[in-house]
Amino acid sequence: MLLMQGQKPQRWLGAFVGGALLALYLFITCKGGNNELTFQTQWFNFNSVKTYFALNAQGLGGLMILLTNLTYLALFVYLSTTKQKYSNTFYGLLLITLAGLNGVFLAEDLILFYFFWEVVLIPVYFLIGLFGIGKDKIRANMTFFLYTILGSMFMLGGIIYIGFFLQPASFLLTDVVQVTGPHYSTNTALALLFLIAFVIKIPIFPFHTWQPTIYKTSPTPLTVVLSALMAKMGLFAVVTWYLGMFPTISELFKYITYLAIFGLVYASLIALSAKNVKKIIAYSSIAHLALIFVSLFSELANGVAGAYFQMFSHGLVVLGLWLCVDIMERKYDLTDIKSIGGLAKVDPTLSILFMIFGLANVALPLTSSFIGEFMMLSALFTHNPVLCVVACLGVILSAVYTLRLSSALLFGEVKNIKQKDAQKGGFGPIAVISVIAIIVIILGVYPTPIFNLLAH
Amino acid sequence: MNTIILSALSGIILMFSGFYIKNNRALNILSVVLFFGMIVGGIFELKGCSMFAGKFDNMIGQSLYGVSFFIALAGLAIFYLLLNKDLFGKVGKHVAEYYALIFFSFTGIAVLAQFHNLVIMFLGIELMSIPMYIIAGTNKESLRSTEASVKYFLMGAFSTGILMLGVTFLYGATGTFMVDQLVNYNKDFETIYYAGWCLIIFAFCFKVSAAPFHAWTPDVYDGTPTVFTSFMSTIIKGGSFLGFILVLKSFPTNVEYAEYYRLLFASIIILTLFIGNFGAVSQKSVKRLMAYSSIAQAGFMLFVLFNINSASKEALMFYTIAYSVANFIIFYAIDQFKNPKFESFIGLGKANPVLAAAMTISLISLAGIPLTGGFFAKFMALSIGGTNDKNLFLIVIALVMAVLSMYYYFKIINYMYFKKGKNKLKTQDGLTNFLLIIGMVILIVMGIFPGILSSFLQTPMW
Repeated sequence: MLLMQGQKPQRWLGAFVGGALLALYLFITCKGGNNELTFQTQWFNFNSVKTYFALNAQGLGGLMILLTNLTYLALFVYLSTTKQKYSNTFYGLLLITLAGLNGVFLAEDLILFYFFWEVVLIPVYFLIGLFGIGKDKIRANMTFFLYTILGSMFMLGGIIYIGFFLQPASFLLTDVVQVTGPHYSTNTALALLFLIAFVIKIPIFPFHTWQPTIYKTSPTPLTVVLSALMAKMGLFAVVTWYLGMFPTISELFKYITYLAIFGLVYASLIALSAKNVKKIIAYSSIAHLALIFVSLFSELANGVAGAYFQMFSHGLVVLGLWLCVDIMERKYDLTDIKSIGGLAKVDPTLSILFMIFGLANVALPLTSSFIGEFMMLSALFTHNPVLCVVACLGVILSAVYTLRLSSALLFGEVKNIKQKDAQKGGFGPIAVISVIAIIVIILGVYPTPIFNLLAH
Repeated sequence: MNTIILSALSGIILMFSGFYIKNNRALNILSVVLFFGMIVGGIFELKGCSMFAGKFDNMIGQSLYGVSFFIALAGLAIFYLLLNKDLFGKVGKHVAEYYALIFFSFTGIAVLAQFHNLVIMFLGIELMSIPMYIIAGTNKESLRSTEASVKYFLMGAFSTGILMLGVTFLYGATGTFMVDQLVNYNKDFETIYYAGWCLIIFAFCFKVSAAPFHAWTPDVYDGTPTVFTSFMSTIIKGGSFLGFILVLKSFPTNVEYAEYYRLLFASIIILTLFIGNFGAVSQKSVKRLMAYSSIAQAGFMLFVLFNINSASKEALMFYTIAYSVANFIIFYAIDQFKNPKFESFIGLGKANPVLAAAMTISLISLAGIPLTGGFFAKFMALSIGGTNDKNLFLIVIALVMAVLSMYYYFKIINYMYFKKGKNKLKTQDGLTNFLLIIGMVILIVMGIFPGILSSFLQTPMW
């Protein structure tokens, strides 16, 4: 697609790719049979450690694939219906990230995983550099890039050590698990190397500083990808790789969960005082991800299942929120919380949708977030009541900042909104967002399909 | 033996052809053909078909690795010559001589690829270096080029002395020049023996521009006409590393000195990485930046020397190829500008998309990011160091330094694509475009199928 520069933007092609992959995945899953969900062939063999090109779409990986391709489908349909002025370069780079993301969620081999993990990053760098918003974008972009890649480099160091000093039979997860370092301290150091890479990506306090700036700078379609999917990359890696490889190092867990829970409250407080709408959503995202992160470490089946579910649900909710914000931005020049007001009187449809996602962000019953958040909090309570209480504080705060945001934008006096703007834009974008909203509500009432998928 | 004779003959042919052929294109084609001849000669050599059956008292012998490495370098040289076909004429009038010097230098590499004897090794190093001293000064009107030549020659002569002293020490302690018998030394001369090894290591560090023997590199690379900097920083560096790994193969690593050996290299690597990367960050001229970058890359390449086995040899070859292709492309781009600053690259993405794309892929590869050969090159090199658990810290430092290198590599990308402005650079002709695309394809293929070389080295297809 990069080669089609200068031609008419081929938006539908992207939607087609996303849709086709989604259909392929659903087809394979529905057909059942675990053999179809895995694939393995030898990739290369260096210094007597084998590397496989091994893919696996079972369990959480499968769920994430579903989320990824669903998001891309929605995103591309949305972009096509709103006729945005991006060139083919934009769509091409976005599709490369799609390939990388699918790879990360499918990879069963450590090297392959790392490979895709970095492949995601390069197109993002170019997307922000070429299509970013704001004067400071080059600098912000470079900071983001170097920051995240610094984490990945630590991980690479760990991979090299595991692969060539501990010498497992291959880099497959099943083989890597079987080797451990000679000392407890070596193992801790190794675990730390991986953990740093993952928490920077999620991001967990205090490694979150790149995130709000970059959410603000990047073009909105990319922000969707960053928050709905790339943050999940980090969480997914923690589940599959970190907990898969170092299940026994519990001391590290303790400190990192405290940090994360502190970050939860901290981010919520900032979201409460922030003015820029994009920043509010970014910080709220940090808070939610921190909760998921903490409950992954709760070591309780309930909490982990809730976290998996919430990973999926948060992706959808954030997708909906960002798309609503994007419509508001383009129709009414939304920038910060005071720039517009009284949207509900002028554009009720959009307001209802925004409210649904806002309430889902608060984790109100009937929305999918409630299921996940409830399971996580109940598990946290059995694990460590103090953590649970602090986390609940975060939930309350999230209600406060979400309601503050929606009351400022939707209700009150009509401000800076022209009646004729409301009619523009057509039916398409609203339809896309409605479909996502319907999925969120259905999953809130009947979450079983997702749990079935996880049990696959 | 084939390769040595063919490269020397080719050099002589080109030296005299300067009298009869005045057309630069024709000279270029002639030398490409001769390089193909050398590759064919190398393949025959591997098949056991040599021009001279004599063994020269076993002083020269063909190994699969040495000859394959030589063939790889000759292939890279073909790419180099075709890519830079119009740039030789810009340097000066005596184009044929430049080609001849490149061939003579290749004679040295051919000798280095198959020495079994320290004296032959010394010969190879000198044969390789002396043409380079001359080539650094080819731009006779430029003071900096002359300075580069003199500086390179003086420093090079000094390192030659060190190398010679090292060889002498080793001879004193072992009574032989044969490389494979160096392990058995007289215990009474232990100090002299290891001092000899140290001196040899230092001399080679000079050749591959590793710190603290790097001081000549920025000035020489900067002063030399860019076309030849491209050659020096890639093929000559590769050839020097080939000699380095082949001589260190016989270092007795399984004794108590193994730990000192590790420490020596660890400190050289750390110093090289620090000086290379921190030096590059503050540069304003892209050419000088690339000189420092080549020091930094040498730091990564040195990792392969921690533990010499078939894997490390493969890693070195892989690294050399990935690094050279990327450097050829970047130096080609640098040569398009008279005074290559960062600002010269503004708007290149729009003005010359093929060159900009090729440069981007090359820079990403040098930075060592997946989907390009550079990633697996770094991965392989570092993994050789990873076989010893004391090196974990060193590896992490090297990777942090790699992040630093991304800063200056990506700065060039920022200027090419993200900064607004216009670039007046014209697009290049079809063949060059084709070669740039080939270069990109090579880098990406190496980044997706890193096993390509190992299958090649284990069972050659001929």
